[in-house]
Amino acid sequence: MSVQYAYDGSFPGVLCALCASLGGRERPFDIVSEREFQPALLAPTVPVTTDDERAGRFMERIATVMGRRVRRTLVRAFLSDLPGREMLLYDYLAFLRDRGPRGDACLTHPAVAPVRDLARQVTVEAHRLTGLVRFTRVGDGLLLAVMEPRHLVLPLIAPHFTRRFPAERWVMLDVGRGVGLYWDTKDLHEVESGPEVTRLLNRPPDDPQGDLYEKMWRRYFRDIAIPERRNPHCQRRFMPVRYWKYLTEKR
Amino acid sequence: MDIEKKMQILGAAAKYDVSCSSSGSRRPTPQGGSGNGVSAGICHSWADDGRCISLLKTLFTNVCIHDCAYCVNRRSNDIPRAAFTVDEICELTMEFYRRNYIEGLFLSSGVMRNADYTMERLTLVAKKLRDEHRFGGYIHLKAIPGASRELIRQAGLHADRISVNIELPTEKSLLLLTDKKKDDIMLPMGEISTAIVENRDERKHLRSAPRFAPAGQSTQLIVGATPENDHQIVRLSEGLYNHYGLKRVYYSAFVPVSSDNRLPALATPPLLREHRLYQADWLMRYYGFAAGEILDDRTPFLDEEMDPKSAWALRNMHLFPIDIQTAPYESLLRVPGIGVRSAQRIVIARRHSRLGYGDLKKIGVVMKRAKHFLTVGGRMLLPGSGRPLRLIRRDLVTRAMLEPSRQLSLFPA
Repeated sequence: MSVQYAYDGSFPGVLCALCASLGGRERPFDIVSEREFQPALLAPTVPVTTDDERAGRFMERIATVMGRRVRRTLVRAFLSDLPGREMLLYDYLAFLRDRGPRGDACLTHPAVAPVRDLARQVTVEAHRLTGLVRFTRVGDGLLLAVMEPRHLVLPLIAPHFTRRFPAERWVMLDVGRGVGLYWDTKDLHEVESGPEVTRLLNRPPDDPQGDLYEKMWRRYFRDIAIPERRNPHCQRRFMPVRYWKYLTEKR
Repeated sequence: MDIEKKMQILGAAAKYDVSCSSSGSRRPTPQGGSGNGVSAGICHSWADDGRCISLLKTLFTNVCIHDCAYCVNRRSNDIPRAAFTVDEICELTMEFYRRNYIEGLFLSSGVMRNADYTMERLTLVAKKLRDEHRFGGYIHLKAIPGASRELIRQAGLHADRISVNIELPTEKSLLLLTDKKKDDIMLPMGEISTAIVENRDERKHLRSAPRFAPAGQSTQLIVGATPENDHQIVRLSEGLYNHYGLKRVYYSAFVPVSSDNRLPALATPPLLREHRLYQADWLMRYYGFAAGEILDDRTPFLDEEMDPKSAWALRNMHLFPIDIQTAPYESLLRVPGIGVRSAQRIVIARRHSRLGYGDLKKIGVVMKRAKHFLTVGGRMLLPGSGRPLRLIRRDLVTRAMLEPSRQLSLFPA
């Protein structure tokens, strides 16, 4: 009888669940995070304990046996944060297990296409946000960026900003998920939503006049468009309205 | 004048410069500084006209000794004039960059006093950003026609990209609308191109040699201000890519900025024509097409109803259909409805299984167009497609002719 795996919602957690389920020949009934967990009527539930070391070894093995590209696809598809992605990952890995690493090239196969698609969507959003993230000065030289991405792209884009602004202190918050990262010029730290973050978000601006450069940027944004070429459709296609809320120039 | 007012004048004055690309450079973040180059480039916003904003595009000054008819900054135009100081631009760039509004700076300028004086200012900005602000972000500098070789060399050592704008596709048009000659533009372009090639060679032997314009050279052409046809333009671009090693040629639909009687009276900028030229440009850069395949003396203008690849395919139906399982990558690229990405994916996926209609759809092929050109195992991919020409044509047309045709009559031969 197929079972339902329940894991803690973390990436190492899902890896442990995948590792456990791929050992057997039978497709599990489901793999769900505890957050979304509901006891299934027909399948017994097996709780998965997260073991970081085991998860790490599993990842290494995937990279050596299936290739680093598969590992990358796996990480990114998981970060899509889409409900139900766990079983897509299972089917993807089970297919590669049976078919060998070259199975990843079966771009249109139902076990491969959806996972690669998800990974691509995440990559696209991460790249987009490296451009669309806006920092504001919130005092003591601290820069704050707030976003509400569809996927959990924060861990993917943070390295870009540590490379770009190594000497600045900055915080990036994913307010939809209540998670964030803080760079103190040496290390990245995880930030959880809580009173401190709320205070940060409600901090009054340094300058009651408002930031001069924000003002100039808004004006520049308006002036740089050629009126005879107005094309709001094209603008929205590249910069969907859901990102506007946190764009200095569109707020 | 305060910096805000200057920004209003000089930022708006730069809007007719098309290039905003920030790609092609992989500059690392300087020790103790900020900013780096990302080789794919990053767009930071999209303006209301749908064009991407990647760089802070501004003029150093809109004062100009020239009087080019198509240019909003021409000497005889009665508009407010301003000039930044070197420090003001550096400050603006750094502050915008830190807030992640931009990938870097695209600095152009009207010609103040003379070419060398202006070029020196632009170079100084780049130098100061690199040396004092320890800025590793993207810098695109405009080379001022007529500036000395040494200054342009200096500029290239600090900038990621340099460009000289051709603006008008023939010398005849240049002479008609400007006080510039062909050589004023082509000579610096040739020098930059030589410097880039030499630098690449030098760096092969000495990896520590400073880079010269690592993101290469680009230029811009105004479309529709003068009577050149598309064939002339496409051929010119091909020459620039092949002989001058340009990274990009930008096309800019002419927006009337004066009522000069040497210029055509257009009601709207010829946007569709510009779009078709970009498509043709892509065919040359990524699809292996030669200018002579896209257009010739008998068809001097691009088809407005369909993209240039479809138009080419219709003229060359004897080359089709091709087989999806065996056709080489280069031939797949020539099928209407198949782009670079889908051609690559077809080549990967067909090794492992026989592809059918549904697979190609999943891969991202536009089947409405592609179905007329593909077979699988000797049979049309979709039975019944591939003829007659009239039906194929119907599927290839992307835009019905709505606008009246281009206003050729304004230029009696």
